Amino acid sequence: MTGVTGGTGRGLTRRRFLGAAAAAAAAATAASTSACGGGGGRGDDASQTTVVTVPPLTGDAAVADLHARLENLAIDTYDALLDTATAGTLGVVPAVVGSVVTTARAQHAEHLAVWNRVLRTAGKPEVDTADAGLTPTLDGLLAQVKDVDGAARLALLVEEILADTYLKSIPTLLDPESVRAAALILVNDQQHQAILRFALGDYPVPEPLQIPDKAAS
Amino acid sequence: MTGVVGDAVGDRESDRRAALRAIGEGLGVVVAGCVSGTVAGLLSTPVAAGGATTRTDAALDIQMLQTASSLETLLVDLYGAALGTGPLGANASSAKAVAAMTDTVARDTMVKILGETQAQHREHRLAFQNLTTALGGKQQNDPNPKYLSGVAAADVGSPLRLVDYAAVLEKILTDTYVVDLTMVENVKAKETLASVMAVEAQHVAVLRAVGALLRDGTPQFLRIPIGADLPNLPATLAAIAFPRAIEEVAAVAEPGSGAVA
Repeated sequence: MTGVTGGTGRGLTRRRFLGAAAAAAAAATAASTSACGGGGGRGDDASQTTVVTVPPLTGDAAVADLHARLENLAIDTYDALLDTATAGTLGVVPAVVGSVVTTARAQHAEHLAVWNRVLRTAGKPEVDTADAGLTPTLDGLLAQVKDVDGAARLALLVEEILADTYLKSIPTLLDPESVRAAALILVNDQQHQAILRFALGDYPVPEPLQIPDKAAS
Repeated sequence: MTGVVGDAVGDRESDRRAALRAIGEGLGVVVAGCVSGTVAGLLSTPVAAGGATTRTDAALDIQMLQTASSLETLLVDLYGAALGTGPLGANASSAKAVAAMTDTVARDTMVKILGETQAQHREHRLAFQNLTTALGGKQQNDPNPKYLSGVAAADVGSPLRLVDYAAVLEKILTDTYVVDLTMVENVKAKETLASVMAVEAQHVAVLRAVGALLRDGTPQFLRIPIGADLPNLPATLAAIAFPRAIEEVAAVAEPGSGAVA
């Protein structure tokens, strides 16, 4: 997990979000090394400092955590693309591309809420930051986006990463409700891809069977 | 989200039974009638708990795969009729409708979509059939009997009605596989159902988009690649193709509906 917070509070711009993420990560780091003496609060007595080791998530909770990190990644990417479009960097954005981006962004926020609800129900912390492993790669690709085609292709890549990850994780999930949620979210992500490909001029359903070759882990 | 999550392992068999009961209590009734005798029998059969593979697990998996094969055949035949390669040839109402499209580029695009989609359903059927036999079941080659008469009677006499109807059927396949994924035990079957479900979802989106263009009276935008007409595509296409973040499961084919002994 790459930093957790208790609230959800979406709607941040990418830049503000990254700042919040850094603060959250710092807080998480501080918490993991904080004093936890018998009757005292944090820092009551430095001589009784105990390092708290948080066990890694396992099972469905670990998968939900991964899904939440990726949904945050998608939201951040779409926010960044919207910022770029608003700044005029992409030129004139066709209406259909704009509506795909805004609709998909909103739907990923709903997906994120699903996984955070799963985590909350399992007694685990919610996830409000993007996947740390993929974020630098996506940031690098974002910096290269200069036009609508590039923006749509980046959005398509993110959708593929998420969909492939869901595809790969579904057989590993134990709880049928989590399986159902992952499957229904995968359906939605596939639909995003199809319309993005149509807008890009590609055939919208290129493969007869979906292979999870872009799955994150 | 009410199920067990985290590190706990749920009672898989109980979950499968609950899912089957849900289908029998109405989910599948819309399109597939009542729960078959075979599935009802499964519900009353004592089975091992804890996820261990039992003969009953395999039997239900096989039923789901056979039903999936029968659904794929249904779609292969639907698209075949529209392409003029079905039993009625060019006289099928859907084939006549496609052939009568006056915008030749839109017609060619429609034919390409129908042909590609049919080919993909053929591959899905083959995958399900191979899995069925690998699990010791009998290969299902026929269309799903519960839907067959409905498909035969469907009004697909215009391009719009054809794609609208095809989208409904594709959604039924998608939803069926979503529900199957919550019950199936065999890992390979689970992987295949998920993989196919993902592609059916794309078919749904494409057909909805095509339907929107036809409904708007703008077949001139039915082109792949869309090219210079991209700015002319309606913004509403996104909301039509994927109207909800998580769509409801509307109708499913219960596992026994296409099973063969």
